[in-house]
Amino acid sequence: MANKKSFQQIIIDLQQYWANYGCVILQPYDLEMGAGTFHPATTLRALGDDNWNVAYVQPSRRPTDGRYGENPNRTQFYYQLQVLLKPTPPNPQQLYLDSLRSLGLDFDKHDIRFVEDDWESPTLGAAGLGWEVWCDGMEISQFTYFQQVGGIECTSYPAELTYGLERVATFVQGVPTNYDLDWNGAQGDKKLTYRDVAIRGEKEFSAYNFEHANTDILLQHFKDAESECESLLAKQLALPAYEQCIKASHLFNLLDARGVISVTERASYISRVRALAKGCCMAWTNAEVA
Amino acid sequence: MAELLIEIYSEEIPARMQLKAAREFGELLAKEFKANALEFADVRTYVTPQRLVAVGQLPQQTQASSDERRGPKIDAPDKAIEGFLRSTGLTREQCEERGGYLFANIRKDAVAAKDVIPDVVRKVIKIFPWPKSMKWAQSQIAWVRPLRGILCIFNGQAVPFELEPGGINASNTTIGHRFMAPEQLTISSFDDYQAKLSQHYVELDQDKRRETIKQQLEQAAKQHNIKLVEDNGLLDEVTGLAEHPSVFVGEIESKYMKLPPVALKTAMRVHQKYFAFEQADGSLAPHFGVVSNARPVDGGTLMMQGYSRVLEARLSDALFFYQQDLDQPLQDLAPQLANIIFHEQLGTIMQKCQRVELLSEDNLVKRAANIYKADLVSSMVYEFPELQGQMGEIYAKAQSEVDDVALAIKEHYQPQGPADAVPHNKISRELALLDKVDTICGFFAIGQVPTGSKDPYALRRAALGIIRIIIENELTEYDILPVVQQSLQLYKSQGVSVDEQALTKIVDFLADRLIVLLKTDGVRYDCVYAVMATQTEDELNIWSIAERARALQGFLNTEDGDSLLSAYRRAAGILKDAEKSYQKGFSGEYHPETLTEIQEKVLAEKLSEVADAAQPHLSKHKYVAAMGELAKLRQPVDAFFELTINDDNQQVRENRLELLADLKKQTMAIADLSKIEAA
Repeated sequence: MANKKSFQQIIIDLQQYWANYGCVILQPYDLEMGAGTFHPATTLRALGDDNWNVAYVQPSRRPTDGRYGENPNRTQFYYQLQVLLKPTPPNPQQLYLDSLRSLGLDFDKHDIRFVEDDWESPTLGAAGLGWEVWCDGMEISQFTYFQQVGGIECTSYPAELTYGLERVATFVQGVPTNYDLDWNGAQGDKKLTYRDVAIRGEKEFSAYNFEHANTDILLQHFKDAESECESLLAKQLALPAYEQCIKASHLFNLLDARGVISVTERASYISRVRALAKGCCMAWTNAEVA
Repeated sequence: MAELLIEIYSEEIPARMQLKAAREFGELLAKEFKANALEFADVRTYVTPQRLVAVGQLPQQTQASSDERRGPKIDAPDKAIEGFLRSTGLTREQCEERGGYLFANIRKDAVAAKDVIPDVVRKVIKIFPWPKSMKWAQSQIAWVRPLRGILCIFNGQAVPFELEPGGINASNTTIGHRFMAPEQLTISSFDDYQAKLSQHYVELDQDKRRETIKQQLEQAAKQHNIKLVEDNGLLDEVTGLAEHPSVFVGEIESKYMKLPPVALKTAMRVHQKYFAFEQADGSLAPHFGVVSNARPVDGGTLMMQGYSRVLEARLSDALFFYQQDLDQPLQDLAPQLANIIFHEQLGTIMQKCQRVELLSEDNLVKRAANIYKADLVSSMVYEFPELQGQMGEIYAKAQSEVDDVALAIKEHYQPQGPADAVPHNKISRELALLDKVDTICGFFAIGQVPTGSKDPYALRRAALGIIRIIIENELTEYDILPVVQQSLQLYKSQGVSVDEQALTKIVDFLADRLIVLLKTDGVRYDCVYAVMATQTEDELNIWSIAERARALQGFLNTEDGDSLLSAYRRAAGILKDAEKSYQKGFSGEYHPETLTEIQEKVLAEKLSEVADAAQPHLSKHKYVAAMGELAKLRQPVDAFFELTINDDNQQVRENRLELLADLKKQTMAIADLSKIEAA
């Protein structure tokens, strides 16, 4: 087992793989977000015809997926490796599969599938066609050809590959749960597992997300983010406005986890965030044209 | 004729779209070839996750043809002549003049099929009706997923062409299994193609893949001494997910076997596409079957660890939700239904529950109405929406509700379609009826009625459900009209502004659905209309209409029935004429004392006999017997028509007309024969 790649080595190697391909390697965006797609390097840069190949790790927060550290692979905080390829190369699936192989995932012993899953982000007004990639029945990645972002039709339909890093790593390392992952590959008392690094956060944030987040404050923050976004949009400041949109989206997710949003309200919150995202994408493309 | 083989190779096609796509691929090719004067014959189509394939016979070339068309007169306006020349592609000089008209002789030379094939393939790809298609890279083509190659072989030769400028080229090569044999294969014919694919781990024929999977599942079941839970939908789906399917069986940890079997099955099926098995006693076996697209070199040990792990994660969640739900009685969940919108104008699900409760007089139905939708806000149904109703039943039982109430929570959704059973239990069927009546009334109240192919709220299905519940349970006395009226009233009280015409429209809608249903049983619609006309305005007894219509059709198919129908028509015709000339109606009030002829007397006697004899049958819903009484009129009616109705004596004449009117009236109690259309 010693020669299996550690979690951090997997991340380093994937970044290297995509750097070799020609991707610019960015760092995570410094805001809470539900998925790597929200990073402006994907949402905004997916629009337009310019070449844009990028890869970055993005910590992702899904408040409703918290299980107090009790579920083997569902967590409210996890890491995605996000790759956006624009224009789409002729063989994106092969590039993706080669990256898995380079990590040491043995296709002679595993069952990899591309299972229909048309991705849609109602809050981003984004949609695409693609698949969940399954390894032995587990979704380890999302593979999407963007068709629309922020309600705007894409012109060069980039391919988006999103690796669920923990899930990929459990197969590379052959361990039963995220928490069993070898994080740093060190031995003896220097050895760190995913559990050592993350379990406390899972427990405390599950409690925060489901039980203790102050919903009055969250609601106020949501309103603040919304109005700040709108006023920045009036000034055509796409990037600062979009940050407020990201914040609004995460605040909505927290409110949702607290169960204070009814079904009707839910739809209206989603459409409010989508309106912001749309405005940001419009502002971004307008400025690009100018 | 020569063999044409076309394979469209793409990234993975969604499983649910494959079978239809294969069929349409063959049909569209045949259609487009036909438009080009070529018959694509003996077409067979195949589909795998990455391949859409058609093979068939095509003539080597089109037939040369010549076709003469007459055009406008030679002195016709210039515009007409120009149009004609444009449509024929000829010049004025090339046309012939004959009898003052222009004639065009359009000759078509024979065209080689290989020159037609590229255009046909391009066209079919362009117009292909995928349920959802996408664009990628710089391609102008829209396809279900990026298209990566075209194999096109005609008469043993490649037909090379470019799909679009700068796009992919058709050739004589394809690729083997994505993981096991991703080599390029050069193809010369369909037999060669199928054989090479097979050597490279691709089973092209979807029927064979399906059969292989089924056999392997059954064989695996046998080995474990268990039985496969048949699931044809799932079988179709997994057939579309593997080019080289092989079955593996794993085990479920015992702690998860505490979950309700339906939850286990759903977790396995919906999220994971695993098959379930049963023990000999019918209980769920702690095993699952997966269909892989791999041939693992270690025999599958590592792969099955993965498959077990992912199921465990799902079940771990399910168990968490289940235990959470069990701690919360349905009664306590129900208030949250106020947060779920039934329809913007019709209020919340909670209001729906309250209306349904008021529609019933039965205490158990009322109890059920209180909690029958509460599982919609449970954690399990949030996670597995398809378990609505089923979890409700389980939770109701767990909290010691009466069995009938628990069952009704599950069964009120039934029937979900024409193939689904209707509920038979008394509480279930009433709850199911009322729930559906409430839905139909609500949407009709606000004018959201089905039109054409649009029925977004599935009201036709609800109506058919109502009808089937009534008929199949033989609810002989069930009059749905007062329920509909009360339901509309409840919407009014809730402040919904109800369409004035809603009641009439609902009655027509139900009648319409009843006719559709009976038609599938071979009952003619005019028989339904004939018996519906006998219902008074304040009743709608669906069972009785259906039963009576069947009896009427049976009767009309007998000689007596047929003859009586002719007699009825004759009587009606005579009466109509008489009413015109007398400028008055005939009510059937004849004077028995002035009946003179024997035929008159017999008919009069029979009429009152038949009326008396039919009535008890009718009230007991013995419609065949009632029709039998009607049959007894045949002879006396035939005899009566031997007389001259329009006798010279006015008194005699009018009395005979009244007698005919009575005949019409008496038959009317059983069916309005004027609605029966001439054969």
